[in-house]
Amino acid sequence: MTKNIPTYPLFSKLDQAGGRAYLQQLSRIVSGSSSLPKYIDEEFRSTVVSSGLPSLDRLLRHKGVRLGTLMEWLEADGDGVASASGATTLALAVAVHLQAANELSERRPVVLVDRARSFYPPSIMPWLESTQSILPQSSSSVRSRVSKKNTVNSREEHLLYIVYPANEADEFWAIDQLLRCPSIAAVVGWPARVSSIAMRRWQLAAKSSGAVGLFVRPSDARREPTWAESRIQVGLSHSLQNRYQHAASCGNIDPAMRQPTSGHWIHSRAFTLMQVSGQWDAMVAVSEPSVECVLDLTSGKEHVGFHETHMNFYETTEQSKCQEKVRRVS
Amino acid sequence: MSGKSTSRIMTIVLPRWPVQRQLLQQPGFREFPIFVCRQNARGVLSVVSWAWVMPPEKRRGIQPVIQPGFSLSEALAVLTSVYGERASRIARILHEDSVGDIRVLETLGRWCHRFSPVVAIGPDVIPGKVKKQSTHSASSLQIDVSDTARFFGGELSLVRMVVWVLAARGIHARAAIADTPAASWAAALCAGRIATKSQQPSGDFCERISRSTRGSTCPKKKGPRSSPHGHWLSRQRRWVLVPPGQQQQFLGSMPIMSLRLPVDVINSLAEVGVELIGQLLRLPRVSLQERFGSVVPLQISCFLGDVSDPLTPLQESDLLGATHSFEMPVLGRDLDGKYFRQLIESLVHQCLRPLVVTNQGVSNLQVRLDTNGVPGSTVFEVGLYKPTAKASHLVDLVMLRFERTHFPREITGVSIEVLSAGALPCRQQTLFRGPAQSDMSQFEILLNRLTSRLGSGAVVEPRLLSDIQPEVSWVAAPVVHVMGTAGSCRSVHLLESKKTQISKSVVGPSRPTFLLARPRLLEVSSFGVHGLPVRFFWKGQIHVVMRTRGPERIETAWWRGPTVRRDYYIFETNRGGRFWMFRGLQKRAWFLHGTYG
Repeated sequence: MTKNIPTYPLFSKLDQAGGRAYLQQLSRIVSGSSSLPKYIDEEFRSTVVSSGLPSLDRLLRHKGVRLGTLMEWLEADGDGVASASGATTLALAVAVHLQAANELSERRPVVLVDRARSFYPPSIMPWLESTQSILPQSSSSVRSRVSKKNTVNSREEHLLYIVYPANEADEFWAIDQLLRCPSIAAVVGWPARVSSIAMRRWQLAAKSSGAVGLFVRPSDARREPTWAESRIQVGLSHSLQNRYQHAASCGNIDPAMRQPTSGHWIHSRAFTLMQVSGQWDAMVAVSEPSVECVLDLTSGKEHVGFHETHMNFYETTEQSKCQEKVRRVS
Repeated sequence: MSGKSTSRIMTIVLPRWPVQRQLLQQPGFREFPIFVCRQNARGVLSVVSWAWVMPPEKRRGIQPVIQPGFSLSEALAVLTSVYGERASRIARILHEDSVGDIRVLETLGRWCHRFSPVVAIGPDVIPGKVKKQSTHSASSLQIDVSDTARFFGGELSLVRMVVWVLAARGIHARAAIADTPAASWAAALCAGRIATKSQQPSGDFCERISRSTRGSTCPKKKGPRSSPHGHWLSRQRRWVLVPPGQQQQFLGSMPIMSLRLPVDVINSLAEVGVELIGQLLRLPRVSLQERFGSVVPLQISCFLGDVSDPLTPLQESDLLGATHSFEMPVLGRDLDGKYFRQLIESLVHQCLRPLVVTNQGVSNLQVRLDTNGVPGSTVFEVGLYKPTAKASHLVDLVMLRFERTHFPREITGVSIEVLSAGALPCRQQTLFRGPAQSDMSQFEILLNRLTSRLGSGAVVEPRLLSDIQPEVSWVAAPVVHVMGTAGSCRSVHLLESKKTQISKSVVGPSRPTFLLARPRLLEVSSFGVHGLPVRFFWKGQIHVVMRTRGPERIETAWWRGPTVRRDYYIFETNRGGRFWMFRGLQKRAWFLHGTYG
C-alpha cells in the first residue's frame, strides 16, 4: 500500500507551466501592488485604461494605466513644484483623459491638491472642453444637460477642483481622502517629501476606490522607495537635447537664432519618458526603457507621427540660414 | 394726517455693509483700505463702498471724500492725495458680491428673530430711473417690535441693546424705532445727523430730541465727528426713538433723500429749494403727483402711515437651534471626546427633528462654545455642499472642525444653530442601487469633509474671468457656495456669464501651468538681439535660452487702477524648461511670472 505524499500547492504549481504567472502574482503581493490573491490577471486587464498617450501606454507595464494605482512623475532637473520641465503638463494630460476614459460613470472630476497655490487653471481649460466632446452620451448625461438650461447649478459644469491645504499634514490628509472617493477620476499632487507609510496609505486608498493618484515629484525622489505602480522620469526629448547640445558646443550661435518668433512651437512639446525604478523594484532597474512623446498642448493629446516636423524648430527663412551655418560649423 | 398706525417698526441700518461684510469674513483686511467695486459694461470699476479702519491717532485732519459711484482710479487718486502713495498701493480692491451680502444679511435677520418673529430685509434699493446710478444694495433690516419691545425693557432699552450687541459682534449698526417702516428707515439713516443737531446750543429741535428720547444719550458723551471718511466707528448717535405719531414733526428737518425718492426727483426738488422732509410735506400732494407721478405721494403716504406698508418677513423664520448648558464650567482641555461627540449628536438631532418632517436638510450650521463671561467664545460655521439630514454626517463634520479648533479655557455651554436649510434632493429610487447614485452622494460627503476641515475657501472650482491681466483672469469659486442652496453672488454671476467670459479669456498653451504669486526679478547675465535675455539664473542654475516667442503685450486701462504694462515672452532653455517672462515697460527689467511645469 502506497501513501500519497501531500505536496504544497505552491510547489506543485511551480512544477507546472503556470508557475511563472503564479510567481508574478506573488511578487505583486509582496511588492504591494496586489495584496489580495483573488486579484487575478483578468481583473487587472479589465481595469487598465489608456493614458491617452500611446507612447506612454507602450512604456507602462500593463500597456495603460491601471485604475486604483499611483503614478509618480519625476522632474528632470529637480526644481520642485514650479519646475518648467513639463512633468506636470503630462500628469494633467493623463488625468484629464482618465476622467473621460471610465465608462462606468458619466464624468468624474479631477482634483488637484495644490499646497503651493501656484497652479494656473487657464493653461488646461481647453483640455477639459475637448474631453466633453468625446464622452459617451448616456441618457442621464443628456438629461442633465437638458436640465442645465434652467439651472446654473449643474454637476456637468464641474470637472476640475482644486484643494488648497495649508500645511503638509492637511495635504496628506486631503490626498488620502480624495483617493478613497470612487467618484473621482484622478488626484494630482505635488508632494515633495512622502514617507513610505503615507504612500502605502494612498496606495491602499486608491485601490479601494479605483481612483488614480498622479504625483509630480522632484528628481531626488528617485532614490526613495515607492508604492507607486509606475514611476516616469520626464526629460527633454533626445532629439532636441542633441540639437541644443550641438548648438551650444558650436560656441557663438548667431543671435538671429534666438530672435522672437510667433511660431507654433509653443503648441506642442517633446519629451523623453523613461520608466525608472524605485528602491524596492529591482526588476525594472535592469533596463530602463524610454519613449519619445510629443504632446499637443492645445488639446492635451499626443501628436502621433509629429516628431519630424516638431524637431524643425527653425521656423523662418532667416533662421534656416542660421541652421545651415550651424551645420557648416559642425 | 399722521399716526394712524399703532405698529412700531425698528430699522437696523448697516452702513457700508459690503465692506463690513468683507471685514467680518476676512478680518485681516482691517489693516488696509478696502474698496468694493462694481465693473460696468465698459470695464470701468466704480466704487460701491469703501472704508479704512485705522486708529484715531493715524487719521489726518483732511479726510478723503470718496463717494459711492467714483471710478476706482479717482478714488485711489483721492486716497493718495491724503495718505500718500503707499495707501493706494496697499489698498485691497474687491468685486461686489451683492447676493453674498444679502445672504449674510439674511443670516443676521434670522438671528434677529430673537427680538420679534417678523423680520424683513430693508428696501434699500432706490426705485425709479436711477437704478443704473444707484450704488445702494440692501443693507438694513426691519423688525416689527409692536408687541415685543416690552419684553426687553421698553423700546429704548431694546434699540440700545440691539446696537450694542451687534457692536460686540463687530458689526456697526444704527437703529431707530418709529411708527412706519419708511419713517423708521429715515430715522435710522439720519441718526447721526439727528445727533449732530441735538448738540446745537438751543432750538426747538433739540428740545424735541431730548424730550422724546427721554434722556437717551450716546454711549460716548463727546461730540460727534463729521466723518466723510470710512470710519464708521465715529462717535455719532447710533439709535433714535421717534415718538408715536410724531414722525412728521420729529423728522421734518431730515433731507428728502431719506424718503427713498429717485435721485432725479431729489435733484428737481432741490432746484426749487425743497431739500427737507418738512418742506416737502407742506406741498400739496396733488401738485406733486402731477409733476413727479405717483412715486412722491406714495412715499409720503408710506412715511406718514396713510397707506399700509407691510413688511415681507424672511423665509425660514424658524430659527432652529439647540443649546446645552453645563452646571459648572468645564475645562476645555478636560473635555472627553466621546462625551463631547454624544453631546453634539444629541444637539444635532434636536435641530434636525423639525426639518426632517418637512423634507428639509441642513446646509449651514453654526456651532458656539460659550465661555463664562470671557469675550472670545469659539464660534465656527460648517457649510455643506448640499443640504443633508444625516445626523452622523453632520456630527462628523463638526468633530472634524473641532480637531483644528482651539478650545477656550472654560466652557459653560454648547449651542448649535441652523443658519440655513434647504429641501433635500429627491432622487428616483431604483430596484438595484446603481454605482452612479452612490458615487454622487460619496462625492458630496467628500466635499463636505474637505471643506469642514480645510475651510470653505480651500476647496474651490476655477472659473475664468474676462480679464487680460493674468493675475485676475480666473477666480477660485468655493465649492460650497457654488452648489449650496444659498449660492455666492460672485460664483453665480460667473456661472451665468460663463460663455461670454470664456470667449474673452486667454487660455491654452500660451499660458503657463504655474503662475508665481508675484513676478520675480530675474538676474539676466547676457542679452541678445532686441535686448532679450540669453542667459539667466533661476534656482541656482544657469539657463541658456534656445527659443523665444513673443512679445505678447498686456496693458491694462488707466481707469482700472494701477496700470500694468508688460511684454510677455515664452523662453525655452537648453534644459527643456519653458518660462513665461515679461519685460516691464516702466522699469525695463525682466521678471519671471510663470513656468510651464
